[in-house]
Amino acid sequence: MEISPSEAEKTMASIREAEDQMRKTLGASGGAYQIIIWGVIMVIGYTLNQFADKLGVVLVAVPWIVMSVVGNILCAVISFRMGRKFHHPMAARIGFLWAVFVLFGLIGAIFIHPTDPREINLLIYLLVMLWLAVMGLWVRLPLLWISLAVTGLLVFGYFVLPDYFFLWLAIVGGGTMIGSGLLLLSGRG
Amino acid sequence: MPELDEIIHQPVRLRLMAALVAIKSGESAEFTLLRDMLGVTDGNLGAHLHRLEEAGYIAIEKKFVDRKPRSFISATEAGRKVFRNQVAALEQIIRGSTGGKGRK
Repeated sequence: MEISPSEAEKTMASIREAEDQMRKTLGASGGAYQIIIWGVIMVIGYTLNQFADKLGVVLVAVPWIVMSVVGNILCAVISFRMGRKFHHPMAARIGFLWAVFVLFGLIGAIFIHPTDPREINLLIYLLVMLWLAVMGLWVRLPLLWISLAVTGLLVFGYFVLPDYFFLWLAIVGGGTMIGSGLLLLSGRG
Repeated sequence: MPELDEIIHQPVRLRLMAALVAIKSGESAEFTLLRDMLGVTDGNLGAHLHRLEEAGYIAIEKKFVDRKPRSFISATEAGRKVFRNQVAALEQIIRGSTGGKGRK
């Protein structure tokens, strides 16, 4: 079998195209949509939190509850649909791990009993980031880097910008998550 | 010097292997996902998969999803190695260092 350099170039181009296509599909299946959904929820929710004094408790709490329910349903549907396309040996454990994290978070909250809203939200965020880090180690390594980057930025905001911490959570935390999700979707993550 | 492998040199099989190698070892892609991605018919893809499975380059696992049987396909270690060699051989041909000669 002999092929010319131009044929080889065409073949390499088709290989790259197939790889790129699969990476984009993998990006979508590797939690990209879920990360974007929670990023959007966090941008809206924490922006409302920042202005809670002016808006009142109801205008902050109700959107949070609605968005959390809708977000969880959307994520479950997406995970279910993506699970049909790819099989990952860890898939069942990933879902179970999320439930375990929520359980331990609740138990931790009972004993630690944080009362400062900033501490409560940082703890929730850290728990989500810890789960994302484990996902990164098990499934897609970029998720680990996203988790570490967001965690670093959140801790920075907690200590350096206490008065604007919720806005920091919205813009940096939520914004980074949206950007990371888009990066995964593009196939470069 | 890496040589061209005739089994995966066929365009659909090569794109199929490229897609499967892009997935991490241990993970697998569903039949219809690959069919849509490659733009081939069920029968066509089935024949190519059979050829690659015979060569030991891929593994096909049948699973029940929503009570329906589905085939999940993954590249074997041997398949990944052959694919890497194929890419290396193609790159050498492009650089003009192999003269385009490969394995029959």
